[in-house]
Amino acid sequence: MRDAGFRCFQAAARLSAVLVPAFVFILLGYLLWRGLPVLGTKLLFAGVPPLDAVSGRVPVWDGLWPACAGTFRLVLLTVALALFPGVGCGLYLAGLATPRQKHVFGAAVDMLAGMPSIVMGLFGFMLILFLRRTFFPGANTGLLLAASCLALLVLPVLIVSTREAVESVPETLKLAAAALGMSRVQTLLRLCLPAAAPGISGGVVLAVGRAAEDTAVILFTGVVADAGLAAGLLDKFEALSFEIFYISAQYQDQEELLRGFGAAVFLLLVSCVLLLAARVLERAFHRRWQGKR
Amino acid sequence: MEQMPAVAVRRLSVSFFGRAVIRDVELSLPGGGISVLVGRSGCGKTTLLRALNRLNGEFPGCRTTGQVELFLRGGRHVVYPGGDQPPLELRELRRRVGMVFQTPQVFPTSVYRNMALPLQTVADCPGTELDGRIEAALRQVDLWREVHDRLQTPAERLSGGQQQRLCLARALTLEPELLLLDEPTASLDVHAARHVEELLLRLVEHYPIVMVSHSLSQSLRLASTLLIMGTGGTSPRACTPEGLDERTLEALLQETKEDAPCVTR
Repeated sequence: MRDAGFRCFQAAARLSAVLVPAFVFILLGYLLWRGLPVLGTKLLFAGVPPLDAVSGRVPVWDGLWPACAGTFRLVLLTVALALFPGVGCGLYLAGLATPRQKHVFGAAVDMLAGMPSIVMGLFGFMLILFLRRTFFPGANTGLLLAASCLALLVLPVLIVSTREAVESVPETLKLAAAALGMSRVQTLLRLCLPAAAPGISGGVVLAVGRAAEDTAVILFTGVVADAGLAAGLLDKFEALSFEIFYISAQYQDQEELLRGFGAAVFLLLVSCVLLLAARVLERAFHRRWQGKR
Repeated sequence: MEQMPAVAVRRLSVSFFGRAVIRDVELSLPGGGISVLVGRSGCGKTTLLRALNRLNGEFPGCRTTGQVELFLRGGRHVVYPGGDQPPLELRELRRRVGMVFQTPQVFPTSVYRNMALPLQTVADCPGTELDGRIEAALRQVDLWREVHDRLQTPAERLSGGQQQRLCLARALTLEPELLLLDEPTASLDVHAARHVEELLLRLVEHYPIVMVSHSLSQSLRLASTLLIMGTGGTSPRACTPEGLDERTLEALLQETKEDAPCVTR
């Protein structure tokens, strides 16, 4: 009887485990099946010579290139803005904060993590309205504002992953460092931070994914359907996630819908490139710090 | 000839969250040879050892009263505040009093960085001297021959005995004047433990050593002074190992109870 119960449990657990790769396979398969046939330089640059398009000499109006470049820049800017405060806050919470501070700051981080992205977008929009009425009448939504709001959105991910990674460094190692005469700050920066690098890079990967896919925040803070390549940090921009939403909301024929699938594949590719870059950086650092395998 | 002491402990009490672990300990340790602390587990050996480099303060709820005096180069130094002179600065104290733990605490980085990290952060060693000092310390613990061609590999890939010798070398590279060892061979196999023991007998010519040991036979092999601690965290009873064997030492351990009169020097 107990044996049968265990078998049922085993079968259910195995089914749950199989479900995940099955869904990934179906999802990716469908996306590639619809998206791959339309993929190509025509979809990306719409007839403009690629070199001219990439260098920005000739504007691309019908292609997806401005959206690709927009997403790429947006994600990089977001991570650049969020990395330092995120890792810093995580380090502080893990190594220097008093129990009371841990409690208060930790609750704030949890609250920020629970904030819906549409609220964050609205907050950015209200900020611009406030700035227009007070200090900067010329303030407008744009790449920098969108990246700032996205940075706020991904901050908790970075904080939590840094904190957990640093806290998982064994106490005995910290004690050994203290016994050698290293100060708490030295131990934290020279021993715990490098040892926590894989965990932190995991957080960066999650943050990149979140920043690349989010549409709600940028909807309020500067994305438009036909901005072309953003010239500066304060300009309006295009993004793949918004492009997909825009196309699927108002497509008029089958061909246009397929462009949406193409955009989705490109979004996947951009994310992959960024994730790969994060992984390569982490590997290189790891090899330098830990020694060659 | 009476040797100059290396450590003098005066009315030292250490408690954690109000629970006393050692009480009013009076102790004087000679400036040469290996002093071995033995006693039942939980009697406060490790706490007493950690009191010598103020390491108990790293744990929450720790309160220390009394004084520890160290006789290092430059004369007498006090470890805790409230003495007749300002206490040694923490970094300076721990640089001059090296410590090795029960299980090898290698950092999760390369062999080279394990050695270089304390040199850079604690000893402010200039980059040009790093290689030389690392090699010298590794030679001191017989490790250079084994690892000189894999300094850039992860230290965690060394064997247990090699890791422990690396930890010893890491402490030695800071040029300490006193070594504290907390059961340094407890996690090693017999062969590796013997190697470390031989090493200690060689090192003791340059550094006074205070160590905690669980093994009575090891204590008898290494000790020039035996310190037998009772179960109440009171002053250890000091004796020389001459004429003792494991059986008599065990009997001595048995009779050193909480209320036993303490023989101190």
